[in-house]
Amino acid sequence: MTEPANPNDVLTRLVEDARSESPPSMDWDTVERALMQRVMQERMMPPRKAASRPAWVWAAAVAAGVAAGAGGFALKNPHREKDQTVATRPLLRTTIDGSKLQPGAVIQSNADPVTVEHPGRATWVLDPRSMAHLESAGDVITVALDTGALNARVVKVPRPESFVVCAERARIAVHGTAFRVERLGSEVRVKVDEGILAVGPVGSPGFEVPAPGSVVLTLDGLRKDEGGERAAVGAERAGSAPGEHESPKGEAPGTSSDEHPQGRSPAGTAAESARSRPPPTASDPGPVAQRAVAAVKACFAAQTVDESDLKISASTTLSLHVLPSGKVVEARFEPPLAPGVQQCVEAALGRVRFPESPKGLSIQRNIDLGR
Amino acid sequence: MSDVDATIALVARCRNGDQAAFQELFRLHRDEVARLVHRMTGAPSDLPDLVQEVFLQVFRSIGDFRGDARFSTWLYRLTVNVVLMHRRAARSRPTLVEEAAASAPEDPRLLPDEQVARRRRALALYSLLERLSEKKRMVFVLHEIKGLTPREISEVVGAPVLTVRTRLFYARREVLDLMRKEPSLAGLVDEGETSRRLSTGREEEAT
Repeated sequence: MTEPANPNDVLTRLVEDARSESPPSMDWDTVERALMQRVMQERMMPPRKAASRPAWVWAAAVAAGVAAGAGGFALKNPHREKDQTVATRPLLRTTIDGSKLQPGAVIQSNADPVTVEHPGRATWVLDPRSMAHLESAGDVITVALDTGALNARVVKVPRPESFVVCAERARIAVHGTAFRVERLGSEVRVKVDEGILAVGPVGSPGFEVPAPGSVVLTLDGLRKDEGGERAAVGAERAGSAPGEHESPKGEAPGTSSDEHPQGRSPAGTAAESARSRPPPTASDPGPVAQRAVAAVKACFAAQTVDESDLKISASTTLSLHVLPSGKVVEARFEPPLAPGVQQCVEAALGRVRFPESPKGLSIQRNIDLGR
Repeated sequence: MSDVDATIALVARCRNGDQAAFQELFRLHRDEVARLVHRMTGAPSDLPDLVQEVFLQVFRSIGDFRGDARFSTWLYRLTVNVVLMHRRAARSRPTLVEEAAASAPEDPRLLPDEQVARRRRALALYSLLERLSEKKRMVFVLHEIKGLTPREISEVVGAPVLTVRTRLFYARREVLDLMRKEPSLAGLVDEGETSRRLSTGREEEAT
């Protein structure tokens, strides 16, 4: 073999190598089947008018079983009419079968919405650049909205509350309805288009918001918008007032640990236990630290390979350095975790706020991870 | 019937909603799309999804294909757009490192060592190309690796031929600069330069 004579030749050689490579062999039958399935679903979609259709309408269509794999095309494709040739979107797995998700699964959207469909039960559409994780998927589906917003449509069932969205300590439980939850800084904005929502702090029955209506909550689930746009009917339901978190009546059925003896991830459990406690005080960073640990576990579960017969475990020490303002400035793992997990944790911890303290905090937690 | 004629007939049937024709169109062009996607990404893991996505876009847009351009050019344009969108989306989420040579098909003409070495060099090139801007990267891949002419590329990327040529020039120059800084390629580059110097020296001595 003769050596190339100069860098240009070296480049030519590399290019030849790349050019002579064939793509890996693929299971074309599987690809074709999946493609044709998506094509069939597209055919069944009603004509699209992207700009004028609210997200939940599309979500409703999906909930009705019309478009499991259509990937939210109707939600966002403003340029389609102008130039068909650039009407391309990274709709790769943007519709997720919620029945296959385990508690703790993290769902994150980039530039496009992501739809999660729980067949026959609920469909929720995560707005672009939002993140949520599934806390429970048993009789009650509980979704924790970590950032951004989601629209949900829930199929009406005899059960009083079949779908719950949590944002920090705010809890929005529903029984057959269409609604939107949005996290904006320290607020949670809830808008209900159909049905009735039960809204309030975790562990509390809260109050009802009928459609059409909206309410703004603090991250602790307390009402912030007395007298807002067709304000929620403040029918504080009988029992505990907001802030009483241990009410067994207010506990969502699906968040009770004995209802899910199996299949609950450490993340779901940790997040749940973190929320079932009173809000953190300046001297008690424990609940927030627990949430941080839950985030680590959720990231670990989400970022590690999903092989049913493969068990993965790891032990690490998480060191957090927290500013007096409560913001986490550094999160270190010893030993370090996989880059993907660490990246995911960093993103999650960016949204965690510890109670304010005069000198800041240094917190260490030993964490056993497994999936 | 040639592939071009077959494609024209299939496109016409597809536009009339013939699903079987769409399947045939997929089977006829899937390898070409897979090759292009592979060369643009250099990574095998996303290939099935991306190919599927390209053909879903074909299905959505086939009604608007008027035949002004060749079908293959139109298909390349869709493919390029899908890959670009995918790459943009992928940049904002954590990625796993591709297993080198994990899925590269074996070339029976090569010995295993040569096969691995070739895959390594190809990966090194893709790794260099990652550092180019998308526009330069795209024209470089389409021209150097895919073998399209600047005119064809201009139709695919929707830019004037002169712009394509300029991008190609700068892309190539940047790649050569990067190659000199890339440790894994330094040996090859140095060997190339040494060999060139020796060769030049001998020529000077001879004169």
